[in-house]
Amino acid sequence: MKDFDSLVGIWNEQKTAPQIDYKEIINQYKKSREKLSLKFFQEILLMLPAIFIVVYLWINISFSFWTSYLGLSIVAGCCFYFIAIQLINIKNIVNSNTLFDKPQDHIKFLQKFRKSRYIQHTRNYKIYSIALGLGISLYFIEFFYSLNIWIMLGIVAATIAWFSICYIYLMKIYINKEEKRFTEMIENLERLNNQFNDEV
Amino acid sequence: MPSQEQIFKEIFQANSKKIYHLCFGYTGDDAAANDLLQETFLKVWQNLDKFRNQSMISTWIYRIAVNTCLTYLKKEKRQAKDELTPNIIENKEEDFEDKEKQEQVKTLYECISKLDENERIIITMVMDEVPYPEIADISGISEGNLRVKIHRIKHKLTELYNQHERL
Repeated sequence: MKDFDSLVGIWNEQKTAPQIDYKEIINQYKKSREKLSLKFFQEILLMLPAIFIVVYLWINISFSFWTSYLGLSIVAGCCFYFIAIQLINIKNIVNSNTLFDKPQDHIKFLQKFRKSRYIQHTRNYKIYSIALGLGISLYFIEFFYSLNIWIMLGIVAATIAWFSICYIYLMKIYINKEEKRFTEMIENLERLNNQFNDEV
Repeated sequence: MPSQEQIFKEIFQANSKKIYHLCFGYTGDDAAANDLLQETFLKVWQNLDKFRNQSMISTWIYRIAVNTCLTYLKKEKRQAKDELTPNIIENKEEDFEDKEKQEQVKTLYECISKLDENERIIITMVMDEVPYPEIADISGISEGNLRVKIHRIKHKLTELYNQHERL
């Protein structure tokens, strides 16, 4: 039978030691900064072709219908929204300094942050898809009058099919997955929060 | 005047071992403990200017470590492992007595891994002789309540250890 003081004695005998030194950490910091800049760049790069196409169409094609311009503006707005939201998220993660706060406050921040991410990934993504669909539909109106009806119907059918697959199938899977992850995360955070409650 | 790197080196050398114990006690895994230690000191390096004016640097470092541990669990969905990695016993040529001691250390870490998350954090600090007011400050629990908690955790850990020894 051992008492707690004997356990402290065992604890003091341990030879476990960290396997990293301070120089590695400084190097790691430099690397992670580079990685972050690359991530920023990648996010912007991903949307650049779409923005380029919109700008190209706007400048080079003289549309007769105002709906085409409105459609293009909505599509461009969606692209900018996507970039902005990605950059804001990265910036928020980098600048969050709740690691210095008491564990309860840090857990509360995590809960809030996860919630906002969840809303972004589910509700906002729905709005984003609807807006993008609306923008493309408005853009297509003019083509009804200038293109062969069968070609136009083909394009519209393909677009609707793609949006239906995204909205009905892919997005449902995505939202279900996010919901499951979110519930699990919040439950775990709640449990931790209760553990750090200042009550006995 | 000492350089940033020199200050960081001193802070790292003075605190890394205890922080590593905390991370090891929390995760029960050597690789994860090293990852958490690295993440903690990355934050320290990043905020070195703020640390310079702090009288109790160790409190801040502990707090970052605790929060990093809590976040890490969520991020990686890691659970403390019952089986500890074998390199806890470092030297194969150690004498029998030393091996036995390190075996006891391994058992102790296994018992710690069976505690709740906050209990693991608190008890590793207690065993590393962090003063109670500092533990209270780090964990955000009032000193009175902390003393009661520590009493319970000590009892729980001792029970677990003795049960393990009886097996």
